[in-house]
Amino acid sequence: MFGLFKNEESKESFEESLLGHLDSLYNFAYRLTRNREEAEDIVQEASLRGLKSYHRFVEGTNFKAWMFTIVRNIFINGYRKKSREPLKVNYEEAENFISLSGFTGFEEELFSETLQQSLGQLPEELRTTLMLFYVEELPYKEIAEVMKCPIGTVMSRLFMARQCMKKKMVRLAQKEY
Amino acid sequence: MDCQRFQEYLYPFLDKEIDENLKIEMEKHISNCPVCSFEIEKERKFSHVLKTHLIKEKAPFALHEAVVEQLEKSKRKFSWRYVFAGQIAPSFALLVIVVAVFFNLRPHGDNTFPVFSEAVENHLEYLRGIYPLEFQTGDVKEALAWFRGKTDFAVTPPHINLSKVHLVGGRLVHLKDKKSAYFLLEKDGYKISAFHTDLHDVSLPKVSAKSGINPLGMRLVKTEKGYHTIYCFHPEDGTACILVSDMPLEELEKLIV
Repeated sequence: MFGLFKNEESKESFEESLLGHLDSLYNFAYRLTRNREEAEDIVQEASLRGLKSYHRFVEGTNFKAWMFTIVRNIFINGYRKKSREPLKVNYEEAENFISLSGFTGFEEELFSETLQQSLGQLPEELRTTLMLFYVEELPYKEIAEVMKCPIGTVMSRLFMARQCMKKKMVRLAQKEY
Repeated sequence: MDCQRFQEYLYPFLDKEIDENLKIEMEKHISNCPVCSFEIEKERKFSHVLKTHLIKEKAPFALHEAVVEQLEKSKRKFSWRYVFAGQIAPSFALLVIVVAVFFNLRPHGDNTFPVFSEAVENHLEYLRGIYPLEFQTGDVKEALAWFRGKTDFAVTPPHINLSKVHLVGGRLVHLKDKKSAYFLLEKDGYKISAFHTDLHDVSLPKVSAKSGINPLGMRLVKTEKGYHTIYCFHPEDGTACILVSDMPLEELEKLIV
């Protein structure tokens, strides 16, 4: 019965934590959908779902990573079906892409716009892993939790994402500048 | 350390995801090998460029407002709970405590979370063969097909790397009086029980030294009678997968997906 008091307290604490991470959640949803309106819808839905299941959140663990899991589930179950991008990374294709024309040197002629463009072209699983690591600064273990995959898969996705980004950026830079 | 081994751990080293001993070995190698030293510098620069140029999109103010309003609405919607919690619940709780004390009953607090103990008891009973398996298969698809229609929720594969463990079989079980799916798995002579269960209205225990429940990533872990119980949540549908084994916790943890 006293749990009800706790519920009201936890609603306050949920709201506080959620608003503190709203930029991260929106950014994550936007990187998933590449559409601002859909990203806003996902964040709103995730806020409600998070509130409903907040009693299941384990204190002392990463709230942001927990909310990312909810955001990604909503995306996978509803939004990804609508999007035209492939559901899974075609690893064979990605590997072929990496092993094409030997990448020898890395010139620092990189510009933010080119970089965002390259990021947008990555398959969802690589794009998300890269964002969670570089922008949200989550460790491998927490990325694995959000992506529901083993740590080894996080490592290989991060490796592929890096290789693809290097090549794409160099290509784009050569084409445009 | 040779260059090949260095290349193998290049990214975990760069990402600060290796242990201290390996880190020292790698640093030593860098100071002696100009090729690997160049390689790591190049990767560091690339990581720096990614980190500084990947833009974090800011949530629009309208979204901020919409979320706040939505949360407020959700609070108002359940305002009767405030009334209940503020006026009726305390009196009722007091009555329950008085009755419990009167009948010498011990109220179950947050620190007793029977799912852990119940899972361990079940694990032991299945190992002793008290409840035989209802199906035997090494194929997870066949196992999931067997559970179809038998539970109130969609049974999903256990949170364990099925390419590294051997599925033996399973059966329907009751955990906290709820119909649950039971999978028996094996790895290097260790038996692992996996329960997929619906715990919608079961409150979770507090992580504390007193309860012996500790966080393991975004999961809970408790050790009882030498058996580790790991509680994995499915926040999206309110179900959970509970793993029980006497395998060393570190090894068990590595198998979790």
